[in-house]
Amino acid sequence: MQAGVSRPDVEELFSAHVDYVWRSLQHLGVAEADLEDQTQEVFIVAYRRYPTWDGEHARGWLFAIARRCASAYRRRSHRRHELTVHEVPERAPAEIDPPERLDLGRFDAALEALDEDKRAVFTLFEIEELPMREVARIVQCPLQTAYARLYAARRELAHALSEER
Amino acid sequence: MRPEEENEPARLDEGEPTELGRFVRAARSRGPSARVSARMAERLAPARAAAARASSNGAGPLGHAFVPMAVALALVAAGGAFVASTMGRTEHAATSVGPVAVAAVDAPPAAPTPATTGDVPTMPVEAHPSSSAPDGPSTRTAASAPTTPSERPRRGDEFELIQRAQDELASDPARALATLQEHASRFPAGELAQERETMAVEALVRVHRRPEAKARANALLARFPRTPYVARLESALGEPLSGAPSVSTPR
Repeated sequence: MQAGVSRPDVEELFSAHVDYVWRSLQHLGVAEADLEDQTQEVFIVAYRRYPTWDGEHARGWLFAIARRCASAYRRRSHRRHELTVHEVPERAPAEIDPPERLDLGRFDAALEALDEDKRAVFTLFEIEELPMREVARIVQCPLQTAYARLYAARRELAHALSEER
Repeated sequence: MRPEEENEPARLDEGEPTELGRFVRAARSRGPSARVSARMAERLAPARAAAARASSNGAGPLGHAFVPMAVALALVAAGGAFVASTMGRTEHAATSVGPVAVAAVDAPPAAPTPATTGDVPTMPVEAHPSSSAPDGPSTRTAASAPTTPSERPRRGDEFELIQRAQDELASDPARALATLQEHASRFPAGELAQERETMAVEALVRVHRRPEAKARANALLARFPRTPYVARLESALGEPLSGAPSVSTPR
């Protein structure tokens, strides 16, 4: 779905973006066990706003909703979930191989140690493969700042992962 | 690559392989399992219907009467995406299903004759508006607009069957195949014939009956060259459909 062409159909919104919303929430610090609830929450908000949404930049729009949901979630569950990333998820998707899961646990921990601005730029550019211009718009910073955050995030992540070994 | 991306740095997985690059690549394929997605879609159905209703108010001739249909289609579409999105990382146990599903492989594509089920509104599949609409998926709902009261219960049944198959697809593709077969025999020229065939292809792939899946996908394509489901079919099969005509080919 190309941003800004026409308003995506309400029926396509979920199927086209559910994986993206799920991952975004994951990167925004939502515990694995809460991803289903939070993903649902994001789409409930999105559907509520759909009639007044201009239809532009679906991913940016959904990310903004996800960020607000995740931030409310973190406030609520600040004490409830400690070390959430390392917990064995209650509803672990059985499809993911244990080795990959283990590996990604290390990655997630390193990602979580980044500050939120860098993490958002890194995940939107590297994992979601959005163009940098769109990333900058989503996180509302100048393009050059987005680049700087990306490089800093790469450095910090590579460092964190090499230190662990 | 779009012009704006020309000056972008290479992404981590594009250069020399690094550990971080491998993590990035692995992280891209994460998402909810098919089962979880289906569950969410189901719970979200009322909110989605409300959004569709609110945004279609005064938007055209479709109005409220068609929201249930749109929701049914959405479930079908969403389900396909779940299945497709989990295909790459999921190994499902092979499930054996009886010949009932095999029959469905042959029946609809091989039968260009009008439906003979008596009180089913008979219309050859090829002549059905949703089959031959020249401009793709957006006309599907509009094309089915004329509806007589006596047709409605039946149409509801049809949606219900497709929706049930959709629900079963993620967790029990063999059962979904049986449900789809039921749809094929009760509604051979049904409005949701393309959805049925698409889901059947997905289900067949999931029960490791690829040759049948491929044959059925090609049959669907032959019957509906403009089917909006090509991408889904190819995604389910994991390969391009060679018979897929270019969209601009006049027909």
